[in-house]
Amino acid sequence: MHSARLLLQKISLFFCIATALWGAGPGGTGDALLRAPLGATAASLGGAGSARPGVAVTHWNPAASALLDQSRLSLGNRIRPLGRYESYLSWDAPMRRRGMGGGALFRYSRAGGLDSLRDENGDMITGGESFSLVLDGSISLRLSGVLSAGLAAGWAFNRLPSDYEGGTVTNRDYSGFSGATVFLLYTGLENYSISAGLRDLFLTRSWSAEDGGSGVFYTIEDRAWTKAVLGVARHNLGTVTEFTLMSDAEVYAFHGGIADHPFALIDLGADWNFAGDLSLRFGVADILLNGELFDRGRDSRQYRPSLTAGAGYVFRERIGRSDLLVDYAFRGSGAGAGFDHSVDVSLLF
Amino acid sequence: MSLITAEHCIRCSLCLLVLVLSVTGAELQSNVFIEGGAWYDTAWHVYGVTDSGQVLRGQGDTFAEYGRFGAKTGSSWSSQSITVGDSGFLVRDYRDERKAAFMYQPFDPSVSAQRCSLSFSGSGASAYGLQNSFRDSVFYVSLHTHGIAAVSRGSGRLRVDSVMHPGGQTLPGKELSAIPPVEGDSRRVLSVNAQADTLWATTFTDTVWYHTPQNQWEYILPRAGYDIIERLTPTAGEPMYYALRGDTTSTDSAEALWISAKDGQNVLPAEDVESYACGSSALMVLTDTMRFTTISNGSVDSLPALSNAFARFVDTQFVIKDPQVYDMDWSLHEGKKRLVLATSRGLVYTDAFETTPQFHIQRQDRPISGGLKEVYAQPSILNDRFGRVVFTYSLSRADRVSIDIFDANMDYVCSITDREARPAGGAQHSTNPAEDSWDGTRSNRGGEMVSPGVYYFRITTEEGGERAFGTVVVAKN
Repeated sequence: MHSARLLLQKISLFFCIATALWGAGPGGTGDALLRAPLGATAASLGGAGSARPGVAVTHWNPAASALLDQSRLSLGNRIRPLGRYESYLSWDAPMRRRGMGGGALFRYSRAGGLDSLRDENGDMITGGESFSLVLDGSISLRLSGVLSAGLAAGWAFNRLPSDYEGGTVTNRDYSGFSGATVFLLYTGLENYSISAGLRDLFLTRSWSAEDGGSGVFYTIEDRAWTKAVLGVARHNLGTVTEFTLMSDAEVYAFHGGIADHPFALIDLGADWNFAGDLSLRFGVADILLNGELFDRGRDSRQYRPSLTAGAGYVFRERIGRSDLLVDYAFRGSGAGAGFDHSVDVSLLF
Repeated sequence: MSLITAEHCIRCSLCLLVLVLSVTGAELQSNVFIEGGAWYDTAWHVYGVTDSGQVLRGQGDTFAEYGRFGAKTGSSWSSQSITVGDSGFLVRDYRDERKAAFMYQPFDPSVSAQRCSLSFSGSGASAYGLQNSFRDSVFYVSLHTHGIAAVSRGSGRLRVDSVMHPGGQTLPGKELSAIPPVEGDSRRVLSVNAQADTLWATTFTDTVWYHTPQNQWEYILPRAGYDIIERLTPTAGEPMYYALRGDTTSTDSAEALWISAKDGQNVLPAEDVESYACGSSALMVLTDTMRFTTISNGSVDSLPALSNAFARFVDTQFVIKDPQVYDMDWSLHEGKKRLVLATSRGLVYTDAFETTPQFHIQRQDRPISGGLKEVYAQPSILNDRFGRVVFTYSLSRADRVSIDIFDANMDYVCSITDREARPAGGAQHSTNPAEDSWDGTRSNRGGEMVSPGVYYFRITTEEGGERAFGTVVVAKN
């Protein structure tokens, strides 16, 4: 029985690695909606959410659901400058007896500013819409007591203005595969959680691959290869208990060369928990690791660090024996466009 | 080559700037007072209308409320057609079939009561443009099937004094809805034109009526009384255009009359040709090819310098290379002769058109002050039809401008301009179309397109510290 379990672990690990190697390629980095930290918890931590995901493990780390203590149902909204808006609904559940876990995530993202489109003569054109709907599912497998692997994939629907006629915008719809994510999570080191994974596998972004194609477009400008993520969380830092430092490093390998692009980004976050109920969080998102750290020169304008902050509070056993979590986060825009405000409400049961 | 003299231009009744603006289907935004084009008169005033019915008039950077033509509080006018002439301008709301005429020049422009409603509820009457129709403190508006409205200022307010039927009776204008239609196409008024003490009315037939100081209606038949000075055949073949010169001996008028013909029938105004004629000379431009031609004393000469200058201007200044040309005219500006073209992109003009023509564009837009609606990409969608967009903005004063592109996550994509000097907006955009544009690539010099989606551009000024965002959609790759 024990040997059979070891074999299953090896097969799962092999499957994850093989999937990653097979799917890695110039498929795109994901999106506007995927690159922006999902959920108020991760947003307040600068986007460092993969090593110890608070909510929406399907997005942050599908391997984490097998190691969760409780099931989570979360609803979140984010209001962004320039008329942008996002919301999500996620469910994460461990299945301990089977050594597995699973999750589901539904996301809605809307672009703003489409009520000010003009035609070639400068006249207003109306009816423009741009939004994305993503439905992802994930499954994770506990390979050992300290190691789990996970896979997430799903479907996406997009609408984007494509043309206009007679003052009215023509919108174009697109749907298809939303890409795959594979992750490993290791908790074997004392006070550390370490995750590694690849996002946006098999994600194509071809606008022209219509009529049966599975193209999915997102709004991010980089023609990057699949993004690799390494997340580290350090719990109980020093003599201070309940203080956690988290980091995510996102490694991009651009097929257009790295001369004009960031090689890697790192997100840093700190979570200080008081008495188990109140948490204060701070973070720095998009620290550029290409030798020009915090450089405000021309070459570093692509990703400028932005400060994040937030807080969360747990209402114990408010709904039956379930706990209710409320989290808030805000994040500044490096472009000077204003602040993102995120609010999550989660039920732990 | 003998071109038209400035003195002739001033005297000539066709020396009008008639701009017709149709904002079909476009809902005017609050406080945006110029949409889709520009309206000018020969005094270089700029006119605009807000969605609350305010009529604004300005020159340069200054705008002031000029009047109000909303029929009721809060009413919004849209889908308007505006005709501007020497005497005033006419606004038509196609959605509600409302019409209003505004008069300027002789009266105080700050008086908002200078509007005259021309609505004929249920009568089917249409109003056509104002031209140089001011005579004896009365200006005239063509009402098409219902004759000519004579509008004057009584007790400080504009009112319709009477309605004149060419060749027929003059009716009191108090009850417009009771005015009967004219009888016959030869009395349906196309345009009204005042010359000295004579009022001219062209119709939808060959008949041209004129009203004498003795309060008599007479008519002429231009085809019979006017000489054809030349016939033009475009390179594409049909249709053919005719330029006619008036026989001044029978009408005692110094003006020349141009008429375009298509397949032998009058089609006024012409669809594919704009022309201006004065004295014994005429200037024509075929709007499909934008080739300029003069007709003088029976000889036809092309104007390659003028044509080429306009082509160069379009290539360098316009993203869309085929701006619609509404009208062509001459005027005097600071003592110089000026050739003016009313286009869908604004007023295009050149001063030294006889020697070294160089075109310029004049257009009024809002100063940059932040917010998505303050600036815009023109057009706002990059697709297979439009390979480049221009970022349109106006500065309240000259400054150095930077334009950057961001994706929907506000991650930086590329820079369009970096602290480049731009003039104040004033009567035209601050935009330099040759530089302030984007082709959808990271390099902005061709190559691989960015991913399809919604992008945002940011315009910042160095000294003013202003910042505004706009939207551009990339819909191809």
